[in-house]
Amino acid sequence: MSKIKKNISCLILFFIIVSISSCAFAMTPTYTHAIRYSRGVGNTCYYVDSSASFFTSSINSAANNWVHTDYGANPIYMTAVSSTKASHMDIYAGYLLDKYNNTNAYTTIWTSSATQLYFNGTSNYYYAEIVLNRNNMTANTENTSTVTHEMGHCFGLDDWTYAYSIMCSPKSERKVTRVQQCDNDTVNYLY
Amino acid sequence: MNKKKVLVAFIACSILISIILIMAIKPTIKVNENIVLGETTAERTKNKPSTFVTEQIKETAEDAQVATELNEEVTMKGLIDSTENIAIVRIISLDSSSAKFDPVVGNTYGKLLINSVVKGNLKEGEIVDYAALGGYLTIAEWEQYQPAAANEKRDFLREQSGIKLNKEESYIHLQFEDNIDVEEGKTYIAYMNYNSEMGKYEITGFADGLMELSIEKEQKRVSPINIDSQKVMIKNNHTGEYESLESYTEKVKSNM
Repeated sequence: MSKIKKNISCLILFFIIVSISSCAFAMTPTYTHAIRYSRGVGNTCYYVDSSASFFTSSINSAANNWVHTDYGANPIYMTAVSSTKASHMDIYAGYLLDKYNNTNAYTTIWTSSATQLYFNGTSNYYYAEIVLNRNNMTANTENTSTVTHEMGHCFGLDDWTYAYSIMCSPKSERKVTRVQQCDNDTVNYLY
Repeated sequence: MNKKKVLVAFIACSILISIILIMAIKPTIKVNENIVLGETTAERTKNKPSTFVTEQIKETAEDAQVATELNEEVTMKGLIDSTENIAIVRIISLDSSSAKFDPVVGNTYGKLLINSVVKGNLKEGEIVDYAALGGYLTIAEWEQYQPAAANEKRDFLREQSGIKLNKEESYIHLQFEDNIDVEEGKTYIAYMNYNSEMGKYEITGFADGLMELSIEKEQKRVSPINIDSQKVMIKNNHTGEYESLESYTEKVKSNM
């Protein structure tokens, strides 16, 4: 009997250890860029250039979504500013060439000395630029989800093929238009 | 008297023989194996791979990458249908770069040789002007086509950091994620459309429109070569994996 009790205890202990290990792995998101905002996200100032004024409402909705997700708190706070001097995120728009007709927007990241960086590099970045393609972005709902996705890149989230993440791109058939639990978790992990 | 005649004859013969010997012995000439005797300098240096991107530019350029959000997956059939010319090409030169026709990542311009044609009306052996996406641009050239507010911010931040930049002599290396740069002397499969505004064959298709073949970089003279498509491999820019050129071109032809 005592031998059976011993075996059962070992088995229980084994399952506990395996469960804890699995949780630990599950808590570490894999879809982040290697780098993030050097100044944190506690007061993310975003600038909307006059070229992107058409998208102001979508941009503000996207910002609000990152601050107030439906999945609990995260450290992001966003403020619209009228100057680029100290902003974290600068948003522009343009009519991109025909060869970019499959591109809604693109994002670049920069250091405090205005050097552009690689997303899979090793240095954190001071600010990011988003450029929206006016040729492609017409409907409001899609505009907001595109801006939300690009803001995700600015926060350090990478593209993902999981359809129920805002970081899934349209080409991978994204099914959501707002920040999801997994996206909120990733922000909390990063910051 | 006879002795004198003999002496004079001997000296004359000696001189004659010396002259004949001197003419017969050709000086040793170091012949570069590239040189075909009788070839002019222009012919000898024709199609020698060249680039404006020096090692110093590569070492000092800011490396930059652009992340995009695509609407639709790029299919091979979609790319083939939208491309006029698909060919195996050998890059002869990188001559210059500009952001005039692409303010996002700019273009690199140069000459390439058509090695073999998969689709379109280009001829094998033809040399054409190309425009490839991305590359090394001076900061002055690139900033010409950027929003004013963005340039002002960069100038402000550089000033704050104590950086004094000569924008005409400082370079930025721009490219989209997964895209590759063209390199002189290398062989690629390239998807190209003629751009009449540029007057060049524009390499299209982003990372799917320019893929490197596993052929040694040409150091001396770019010329057409026979390619064993079973042995030569082509590199997928998204996955980094290789497949045989034969298998790839079969897929292309089945989608045409």
